[in-house]
Amino acid sequence: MWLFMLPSLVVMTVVLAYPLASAIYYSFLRYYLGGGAPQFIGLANYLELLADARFWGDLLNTVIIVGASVVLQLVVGLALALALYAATRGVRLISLLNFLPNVVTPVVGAIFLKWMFIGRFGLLDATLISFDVYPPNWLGDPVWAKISLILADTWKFMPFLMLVLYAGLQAFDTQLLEAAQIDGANAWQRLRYVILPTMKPLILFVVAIRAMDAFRFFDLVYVITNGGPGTATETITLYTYQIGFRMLEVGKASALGVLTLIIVAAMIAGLIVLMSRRGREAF
Amino acid sequence: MPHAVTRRHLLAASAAALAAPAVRTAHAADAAVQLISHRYPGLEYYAEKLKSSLPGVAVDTRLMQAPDAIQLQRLALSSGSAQLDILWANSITLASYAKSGWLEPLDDLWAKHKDEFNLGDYNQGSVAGCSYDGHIYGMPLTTNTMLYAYRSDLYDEKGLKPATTWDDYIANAKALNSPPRRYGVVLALKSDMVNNEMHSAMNTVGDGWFDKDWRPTFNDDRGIKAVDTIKRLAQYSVPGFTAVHNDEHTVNMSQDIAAQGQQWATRCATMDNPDKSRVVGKIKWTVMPEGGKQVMISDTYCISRFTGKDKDMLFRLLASALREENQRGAAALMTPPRNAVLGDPALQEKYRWYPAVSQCLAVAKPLPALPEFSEASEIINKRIVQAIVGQMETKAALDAAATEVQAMLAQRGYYK
Repeated sequence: MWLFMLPSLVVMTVVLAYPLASAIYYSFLRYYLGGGAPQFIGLANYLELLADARFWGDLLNTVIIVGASVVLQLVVGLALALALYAATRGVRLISLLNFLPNVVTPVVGAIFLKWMFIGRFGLLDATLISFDVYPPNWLGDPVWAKISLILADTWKFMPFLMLVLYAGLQAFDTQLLEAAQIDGANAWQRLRYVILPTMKPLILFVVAIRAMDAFRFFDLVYVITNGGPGTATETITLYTYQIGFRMLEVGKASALGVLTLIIVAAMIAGLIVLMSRRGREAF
Repeated sequence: MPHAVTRRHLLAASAAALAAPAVRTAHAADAAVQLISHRYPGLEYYAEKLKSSLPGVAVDTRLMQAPDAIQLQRLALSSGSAQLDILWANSITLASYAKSGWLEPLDDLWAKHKDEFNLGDYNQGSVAGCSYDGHIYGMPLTTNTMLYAYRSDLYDEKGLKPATTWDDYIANAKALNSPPRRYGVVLALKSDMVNNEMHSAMNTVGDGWFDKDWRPTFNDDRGIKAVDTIKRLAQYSVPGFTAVHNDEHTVNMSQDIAAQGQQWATRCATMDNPDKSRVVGKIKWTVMPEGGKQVMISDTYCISRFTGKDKDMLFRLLASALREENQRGAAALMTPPRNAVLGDPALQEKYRWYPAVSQCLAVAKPLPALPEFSEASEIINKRIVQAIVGQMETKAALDAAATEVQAMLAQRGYYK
């Protein structure tokens, strides 16, 4: 039995356990990549980060962007999944077209989106101006820049939620809907009291997966706004990148990586507890 | 019959694994020369020239925006990788890399090949821009500076003159601002472009970035006034300027979206290229207001200290790619560092921005010669943008930047 597990254990050790252990080890060092020997400083990197207003600002940005985009993706994804479920023709074609943004390489998708949002000669501005509509400052205004990123993330990842929820609807027991219909329930009541409660475990599952993924939000924000204007759209992962790859402070970047891991793990643990209370079948 | 894994098999596998690094090293020595470089038309030209400069030497070029190139270079150099052989650097990254011991000093190779490649023809300013601590670390590509680019047709229409003060510069931007059709100015305030755009104002309105002991001066009263000057100017800028880097800036100027702005000398040729520009012949260039003191950066090719290739061959490759004939071919794209090309009257006449480039170079001011300037500017640039877009008060933003930069420099051994 152990021999069968050996290859996967080796892979897990190389790609997961070793980097994680290294990151934890480095997080206790003052380690500047530009020169000088690494120096053990205990928890100083963590304390420095926890006292850093930029860290808390970036955490808030991340929560706002992740929260808003996951909610938007869930609402739009569920609506589209229900529309596909109700549709009788062209379902495959529509779902395929909807899924395309999700298969585009993230950086390519981000460049494409940047040239849509960019001021004045971007696709959005050019289109709005041609209709005499004065466009907002998509990437230059702190609030609009956040909204632009939320829209970009939704465009990219909503299809994933749509497809999973649509697959869930395929397994739905239609007798429940027929019974509700006979009892006189209208479309809204069937959705509110039959479909949503039945799908709740699946919904919580995809939200957990998406939220965990979105928390590591990097490529879109790096290409589209680079965290700007100022730090208005700077997320925790982008700050980690800035510290590690721009400031070359490997120790501090590792500490921030470990802190992010703890935050995401706590968030997912909370969701698991929530799900296990609602119904153990979710996991 | 199943194949049993015997001790002999394990020994053979172990030997193969042990031999792999040697095979890899031998392969690396024969493989193509690896270049990581920033990308603009002049660098694209030289990247192509490198591929055919030395017979039998293949060159693999990876060109990208400066921040991405610098990041990749740092990763390769800090890990002592032999997979990076030659690299583009500017004055700031060259100082940083040289201080870290990541670049090969070229003094001996320079002396050895001086006659063969007529290296004495390089102007001394360009060679100084490729040097650190008294040693030459780079082969000069160009000395780039920013020019005050303006639409002469629109200026004439409104009876405007090129600004000699920042107030005039802002007034001209206001007079020509007619959004959404066209904006009075284009600013590029994404990542490293912030300090390039700010440099002139910081040196003319402000007291510069640092004092002689590397203590911040950008947050004194005049520094605050300098940032507020750019903040006033930003009202008339093409929107989204915090996400604008050089490429988007060039599009804004060449596509008739902005009436004026600071423009790199290396981007001037695009303005007169009918395939890329809607404003051919309409843009003129001069010195930034109040005496310029705008940014000047030497671009250079360096050799990694960790390369597995023959360093003499790499030097000859670079020197050959930058020979006079090739520099004449690149003259439209970047200011040549060879005196024979730069001083050629025919070229001065052919490329109409050359006189302005010469004027601007005469009054330009290099970025601070602080090897950690890249890292310091990461901090300062974010705070300046926060001030310009109104996320923070200017004084609070600059004071925060000063505190953070001093803490960073203190950790790196300054102020002792």
